[in-house]
Amino acid sequence: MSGPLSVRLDPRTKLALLFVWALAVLFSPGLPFEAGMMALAVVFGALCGKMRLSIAMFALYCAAMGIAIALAQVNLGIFSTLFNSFFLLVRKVFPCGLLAAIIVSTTQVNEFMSAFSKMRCPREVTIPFAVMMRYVPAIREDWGYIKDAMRMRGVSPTLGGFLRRPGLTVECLYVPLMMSALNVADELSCASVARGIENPAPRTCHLHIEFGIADAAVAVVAAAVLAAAIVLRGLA
Amino acid sequence: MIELCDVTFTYERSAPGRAAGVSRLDLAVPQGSCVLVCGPSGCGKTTVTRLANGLAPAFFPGALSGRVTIDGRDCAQMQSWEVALCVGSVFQNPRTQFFNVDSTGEMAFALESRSTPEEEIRKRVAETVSELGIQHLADRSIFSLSGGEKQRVAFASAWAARPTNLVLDEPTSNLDMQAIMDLRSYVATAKAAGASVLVAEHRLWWLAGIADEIVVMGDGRVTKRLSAQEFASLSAREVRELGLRVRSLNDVAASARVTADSQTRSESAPRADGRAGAGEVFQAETGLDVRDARAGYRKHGVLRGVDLSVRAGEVVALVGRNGAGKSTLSRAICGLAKGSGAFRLFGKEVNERERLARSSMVFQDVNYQLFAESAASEVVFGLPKDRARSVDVEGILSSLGLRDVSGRHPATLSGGQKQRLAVASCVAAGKDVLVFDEPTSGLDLESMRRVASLIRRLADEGRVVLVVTHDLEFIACACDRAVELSEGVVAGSYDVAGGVGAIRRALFVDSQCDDWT
Repeated sequence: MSGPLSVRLDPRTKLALLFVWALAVLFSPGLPFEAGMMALAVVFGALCGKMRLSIAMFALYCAAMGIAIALAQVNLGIFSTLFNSFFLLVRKVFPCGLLAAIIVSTTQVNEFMSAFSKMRCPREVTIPFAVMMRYVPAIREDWGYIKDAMRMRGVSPTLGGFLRRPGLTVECLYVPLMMSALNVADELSCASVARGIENPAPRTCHLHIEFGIADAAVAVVAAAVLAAAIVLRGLA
Repeated sequence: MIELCDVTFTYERSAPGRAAGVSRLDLAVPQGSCVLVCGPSGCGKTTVTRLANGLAPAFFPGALSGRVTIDGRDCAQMQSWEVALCVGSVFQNPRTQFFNVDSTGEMAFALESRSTPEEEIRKRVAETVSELGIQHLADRSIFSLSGGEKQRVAFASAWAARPTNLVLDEPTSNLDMQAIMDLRSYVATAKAAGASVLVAEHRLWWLAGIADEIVVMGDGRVTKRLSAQEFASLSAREVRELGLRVRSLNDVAASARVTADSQTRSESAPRADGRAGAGEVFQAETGLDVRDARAGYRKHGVLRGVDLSVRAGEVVALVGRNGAGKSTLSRAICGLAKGSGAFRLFGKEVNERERLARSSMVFQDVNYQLFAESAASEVVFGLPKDRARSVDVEGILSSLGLRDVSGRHPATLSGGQKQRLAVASCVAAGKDVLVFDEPTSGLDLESMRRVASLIRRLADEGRVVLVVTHDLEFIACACDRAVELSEGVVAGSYDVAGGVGAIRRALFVDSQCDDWT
């Protein structure tokens, strides 16, 4: 699931890191700072064994920022507000987005559940969350079948098909997805009850979860970034 | 030890497709033994498993009378998780019983729920993996596993906690032969370790030599109770008269063939393209001809030069191991998979687009291919308006026994009705080639024979019909020929009329499953 170069962190550290990152973006003094945060997220991704994902997202980010800077040089009149707000969104969202993607792809459902249980999070929160984490990737599997079924009925499951007959395409997608979701939700909860998910004892995890040196290092870096964001903003 | 004493259970909400309740049921599964509960669909056998693992009434509300005891404790006094501590469960659909996205985490799930220390969990999971011989399935993403591999992991996750009781509800419905044989050995392992094993099943042959008692149900009651010896001494005909699937694959005979249902045939729908429905005309004609078909994912070749020729009116079973290329070939024939090769339909060369228009698959899970809000509109869904108008919707629906449900939403139909509705849409679109994927998974004898006669009829009307299946009994009932795929090429072709022994060997079934005593 993860590459050869991989540091394992406590899932609680990961969640805290994501929270601090969101705050730091909020306080951030400007583009150079956010670019720095993006670079740090790439380093984090590389350490977690998600090199390709990180580099790809970083390249996309650089390209977007390059275009934004270039467009800022020319006057586009009414369009400039439109472009500015779009690129501001990209600028702010990407550092957190990359981090979230890395965290979700390197943490398993049972790690999250055990961590939540350690944080004394009620099961009413953890179980739906875990089901969501389990269900979202399953949609991709469903999509393969639905796409085939659409093509056999002469409905094109492509962007072009969507633009030609949007209503029909959407219907073809959500009807089978809803049917399958209802079914899956029922059988999944049935299976989890039969495996004792309702047991009130604190959940454990087959993977070791502990606040270690790596977690401490991540915490220090995150705290420093947040502090820097607040201080630099005050200076500016 | 699972005991049901004079148990009556009625579900609170009853809707079509839901399981039937049970009445006045007595059943005991002592330690180290295996009880097989069987009977036609709707006989209440799934409810028996739900009573044993506490899901009824904890998860499926209803009225319960009588006593269900697990290891001597009254189930009514136990919480769902307390029952889960002593009963491990395996369900029918391997896709929907996974809570994790990685296989090892899944096997650890029950142990994690009961707060077992992590070193202990790792030790127990590792022991289970090596005991069941599934090292290759550890630490895998569940999305990379086949259905059979998922079911092996599902069994391991129930067994990792070493429950004193195991409950399996139609565990082989979606499995290929190799996976069934593995499951057989797992159940034997659990039984030998002293577990009480309760299995509800349509497929019986894989439990030969393992099941100690066979309980036949009908309408929520026990209709017959047989020891393994008594069951073995029944004649094949007596087994059939009980409404059961074959007891041993040796009982499967080519003479079991069904004929197209004459009643439905007489009022059979006119072909949408106006061609007559007389089968004889097409008998000699080559419907589908495939030469040197190649296809694959990226660089990995799945089909490596398949040659296949199917007459119109012929039903051909595609058999072979997982990954042999059966589904890729089906998709290539239907114009869904990219690849190379020459495809001819009724003598004319056809490209991907034409194949897509003239052929269709009927999925194992037909829910993916039903889109409309009523059965009647489903039939013509996706057809251009002018063509849709010329379709005799009512005629097609009634020829498939769906006239009474034409106004109903497809989601409210039973599994069999959904399957026939998917077929109805293919008939309306004038498809010449139909490919069925596991059309008989989880079906009892009667439903299986009904599907078999439907498939025969579709072929008799001049279509080319291919069926991807692992069901030998169905092959004997409905198919003319079985084509074995192996490593992406055709490894053999066997006429059903010449006996099913060779097909059985092609399906990789051991002969150890012949002896019930």
